[in-house]
Amino acid sequence: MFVNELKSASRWFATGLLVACTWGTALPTATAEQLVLDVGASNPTMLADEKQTNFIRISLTGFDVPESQSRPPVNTAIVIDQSGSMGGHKIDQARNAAIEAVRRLKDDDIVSIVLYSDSATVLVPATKATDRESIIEKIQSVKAGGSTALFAGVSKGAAEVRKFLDSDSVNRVILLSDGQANVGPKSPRELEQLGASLVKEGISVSTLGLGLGYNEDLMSRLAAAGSGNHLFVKQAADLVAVFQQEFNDLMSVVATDFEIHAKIGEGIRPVRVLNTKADISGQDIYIPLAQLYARQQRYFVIEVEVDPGQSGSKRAMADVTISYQNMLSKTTDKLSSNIEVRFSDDAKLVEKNRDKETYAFCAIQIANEKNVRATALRDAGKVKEAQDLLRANCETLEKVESDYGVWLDVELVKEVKRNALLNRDQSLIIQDPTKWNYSRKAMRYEQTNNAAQQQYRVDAPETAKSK
Amino acid sequence: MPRRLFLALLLLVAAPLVLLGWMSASAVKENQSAAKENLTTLLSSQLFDADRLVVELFADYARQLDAALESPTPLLETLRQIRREQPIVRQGIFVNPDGLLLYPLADDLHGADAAEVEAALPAMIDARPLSTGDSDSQPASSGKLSRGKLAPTAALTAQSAWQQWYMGDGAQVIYWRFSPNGGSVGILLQRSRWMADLIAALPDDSSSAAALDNQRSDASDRPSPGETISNTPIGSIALLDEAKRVIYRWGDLKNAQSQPLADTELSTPLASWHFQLKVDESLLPQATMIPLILSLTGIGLLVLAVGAYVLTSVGRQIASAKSRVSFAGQVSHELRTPLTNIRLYTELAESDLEQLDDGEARRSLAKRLQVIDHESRRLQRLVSGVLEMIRPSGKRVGVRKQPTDLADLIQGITAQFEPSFVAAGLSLESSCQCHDLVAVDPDVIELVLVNLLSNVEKYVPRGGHCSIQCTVLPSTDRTSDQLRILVQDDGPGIGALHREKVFRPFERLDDSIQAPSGTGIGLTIARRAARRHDGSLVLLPKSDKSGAAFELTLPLDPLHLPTAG
Repeated sequence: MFVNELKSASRWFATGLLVACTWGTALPTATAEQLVLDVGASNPTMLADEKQTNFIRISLTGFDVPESQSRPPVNTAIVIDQSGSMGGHKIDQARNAAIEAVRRLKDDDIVSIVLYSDSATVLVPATKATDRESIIEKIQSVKAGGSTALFAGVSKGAAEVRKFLDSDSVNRVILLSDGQANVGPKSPRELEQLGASLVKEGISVSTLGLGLGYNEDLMSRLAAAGSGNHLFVKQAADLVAVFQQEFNDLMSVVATDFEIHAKIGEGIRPVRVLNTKADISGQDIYIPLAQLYARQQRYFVIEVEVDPGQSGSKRAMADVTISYQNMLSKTTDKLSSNIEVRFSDDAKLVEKNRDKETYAFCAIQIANEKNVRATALRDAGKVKEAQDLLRANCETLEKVESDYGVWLDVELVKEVKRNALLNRDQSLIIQDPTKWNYSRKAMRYEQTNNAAQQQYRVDAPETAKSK
Repeated sequence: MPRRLFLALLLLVAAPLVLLGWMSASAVKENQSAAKENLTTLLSSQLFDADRLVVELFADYARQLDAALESPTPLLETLRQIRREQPIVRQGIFVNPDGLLLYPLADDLHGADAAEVEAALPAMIDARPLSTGDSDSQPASSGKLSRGKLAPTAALTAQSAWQQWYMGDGAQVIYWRFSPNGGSVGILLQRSRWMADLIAALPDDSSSAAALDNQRSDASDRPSPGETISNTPIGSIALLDEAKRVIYRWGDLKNAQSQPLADTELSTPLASWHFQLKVDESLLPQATMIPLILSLTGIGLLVLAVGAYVLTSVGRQIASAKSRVSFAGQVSHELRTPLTNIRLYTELAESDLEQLDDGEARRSLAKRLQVIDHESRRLQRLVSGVLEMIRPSGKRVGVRKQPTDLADLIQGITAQFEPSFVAAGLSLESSCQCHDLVAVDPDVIELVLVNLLSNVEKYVPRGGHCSIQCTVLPSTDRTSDQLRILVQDDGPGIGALHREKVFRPFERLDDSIQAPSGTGIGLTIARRAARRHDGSLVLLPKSDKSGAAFELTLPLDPLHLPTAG
């Protein structure tokens, strides 16, 4: 009765059935749009009498915002690096980007501008965007010079956002940096922990790395922990466009303040959540997420260890409950779903019942994790091993595509192909030491992008629309 | 001599200058440090304000955590929940009254960050501050001081306390609550978060903001300094962590590299952290040394001028004295030839007189000639004394050693003095135990003895007695054979105080009118002559007779000692 019968090439048909089959507990509480929760296991049927690893995928899909609907208010702090390295063209572009962003804001949006160099300066304290011209005038006075107190910049930015913290608005710190943090706490871990802490109160952090001088580990981990976007801006000239992209995302947020709770069944041990720092306590997994954009499909892959089971028996695998703030209806909505695993002696049946879609998504995340390891290997000077790992990634993903491509959604096939290609390209480029600085930043960007699916958008799920 | 004077002058100038300079420099320094201290006290209020913010922040955390922990849900559930939901919480800890860790267990800790906590937990719990209720166990905890652990900091209240612990990136803060039954709940705070909150609470870099404001309003490149300073903290303040790394700084950062003016520790629970205040060098009271140097130079010049004046006048006097001395020398030298002639012709006249018939006239002539001879000898001695005096000291020249019969020599000298001694009512005896010829300069011995005897003649009262003893001391390890001539009398003697003084030139113990006539250089000349001969002349402290006893010792050169006979 499970998803094993599904062979539809249409992913959304599958999802619909899946939702229906998993006891149909996605309960719309209002007439407004709802997110779609989709929980699947990579192998819904497992070999009996054997301890195995399995992957659970929790997927959330944001609805599309109708044209008529006004978007939720934005509460953002733009934190700009004004250290000496930003001098010249870069600071000009940063000013322009910030000014363009401020121009796009509505009157009830809240914005603050924080600068940091030797210290941090609140240039524009959190204020309604009504007086755009005076804000813009202030931005125009920004000059570059000094060192990089990045931590202080984020701290002050977060404090400004906190002044008007509201679950009905989208709260975000946007950090722009082109250099290494050199004043105050500067380890990626410290900033990651700050980001994670901010997500707990509903503030997300996006990081924009400009040029080739910034610390990509710090910036990517801060964004990943801060539930925001990490963007790699090669040229200062692209800065305006990237800011626009970031604000597009910001303004398309449809849900915030997530509480994602997966209760893993008895006899199954949660190992970790791939590419995401989750709070795991016994059988309970809590996954932090600050917001979901319109049409974004965001999923988490949980690795579990399943104790041997008797052939023919069933076992509850996970109970997933999600609560979130619906930005359109301004209500707190709840979704829940659960999933079971069966045991069988028949290896063919296991293979036949495999959830191709979940399998492909998991493959992308596993490959992503290996990609992170390849970066570490390349850092350690083991170019050959890193290349082997990337090529293996590419082959695995290509095999997924060739084996299951026909069953998968077009977008997903594209994503798998894109990742395969990416791994192959990276395996070639990383051997060039002169390009390593660039390619490392590119790798970190892709890793963060993949882990957070920050650009993975799908068509609005028709099936989830309430009547 | 002038060089020595010159050095003395330099010393005279340098010593007071150095003293003055040192005194005024130390006074200036003292003033400066006093002024700096005043400024520090004045500016440190900024640090106290900042510290108050820290205390308030952690007090807020405590209130927030107290509220969360007092919720009716089961404690373990609450601890799990606040780890997920409270931004400041990194990990909750629950220890039962027996000290057993009940939360978190291995199941609750996943991932690298949690592994770090897990590894640190046992020691952290061991060192946790204890409820102030059972104060007797307080020493036990401080006795268990382990590496990286700070002594438990003061308790907030009886039911809660802060703990500082080093782990991972640096100092971690743990908030402990003690329940009445003995269990303790600890909350490990998220380091990054309280640092961020601390930074957010501390002032931002308003100086540059003010500068920007000014730029905006004036549309000029530089704001006028007065406007900037009015809304800027004076100097810059840096928040340093336990390893002296800068966590955050604000204010005027131009002088970030200078020495801190003030350095204060933060209050509990961040006692190992510091605030450092730095100010612009120009704000510090800078007592300039220029006036001091100028006045010192002035004083130096003045002293130098006075010194130079003294030096030149002294030099002039020295030169005139020198010329006078050389004049005296020349005169004495010139006197020698006529004197020799006088003596020669006196002797010739005496021998001529021998051939005359004895008679009243001849006896009278002989007597007068004797007086002439006597007086011319005296004059010759005076002249040679003056020449001895003006001879450049330190030069051992002019000694003509020749084989001499000492007995003869002494006999001759005593004979010379015989008449005057008789006239003065004094007796003189001499003994000589040296019968061989010895190589000495008879002139030196004569010069010494004549001077000594003339002193006896002058100072020993009528009825006095004088003896001359001459012996040869055998050679010892250190010295060769020594000739020793002892002249003793039973006159008034010379006090111990004056024993050396009498040898100094122009020193006379009694310079009054009643004193016997004399130049005051006799003994000086005698000693000089003895020294020229490598010998010595000393006044012995004790005399066989009651008066003075002078001892002349002269080395006898054995090689030149002629064989006896």
